[in-house]
Amino acid sequence: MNYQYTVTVANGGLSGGINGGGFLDVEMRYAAMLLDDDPGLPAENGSEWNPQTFTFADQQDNTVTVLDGGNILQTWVIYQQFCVPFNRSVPAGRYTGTVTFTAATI
Amino acid sequence: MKRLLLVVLALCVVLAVPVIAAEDMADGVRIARRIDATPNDEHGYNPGIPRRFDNRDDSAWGGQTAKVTLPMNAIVPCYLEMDFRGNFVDVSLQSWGPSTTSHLAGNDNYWLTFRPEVAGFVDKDWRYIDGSATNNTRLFLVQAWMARKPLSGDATPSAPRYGPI
Repeated sequence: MNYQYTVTVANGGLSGGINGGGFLDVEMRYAAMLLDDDPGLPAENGSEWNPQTFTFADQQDNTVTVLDGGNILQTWVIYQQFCVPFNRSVPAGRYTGTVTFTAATI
Repeated sequence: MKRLLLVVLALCVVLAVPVIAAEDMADGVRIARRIDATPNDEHGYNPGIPRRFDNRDDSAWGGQTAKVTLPMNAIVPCYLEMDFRGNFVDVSLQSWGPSTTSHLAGNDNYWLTFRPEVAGFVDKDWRYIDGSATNNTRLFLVQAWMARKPLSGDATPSAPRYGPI
């Protein structure tokens, strides 16, 4: 048994825009910190932003696996930031989509 | 002579009783056999007298065992919890044991939103562009992304804002 923490953006991004048909990539970066109640262990591990920026449309199943592994009780703090592009190639308008944050045992 | 014999028999009896009594006090085997004949002890033992006997004389009992050995197992259910927090979000989801799902969905109170007046803009290195959380910020469009506006002390993850759950 392992637990996983994943983030999924349906269809990899947002759709809409003026007259429809527009698509907005959703990008994400994260930082993961392991918190441990054991005073003999470091209070935190890995407090820096992961240097990689993930584009969901480029991921298998539009899913980024942030944590994968471990089968004992652990507490992680995951910082996440998201952005969408804003440039001359992106049609203006309203876009919609869905993001799902999932912590699960597998 | 006959009178003498009677006297001798009487003496023998009188003398024999103390001898048997002395053996009873010293030898547990003999005590057991006499207890069997005790009228108020139907189960073959008398409370207060040891129940385990030296069985070297015969093999009617001894070396006996009655025991039960059972396999053991334990189920430790998995406890899964997710605290989901953001600018205006504080949701705790818990799942106890297998095949249990805690799911928050379709709640219009919570959005992951990219709106200029709410979020603002970051550059290609995720640095927040100061003052960009308005509708009238002039941006260099080539390298701008909308993202949520960092909160105070939240620009880097080095200082956790939340303690252990």
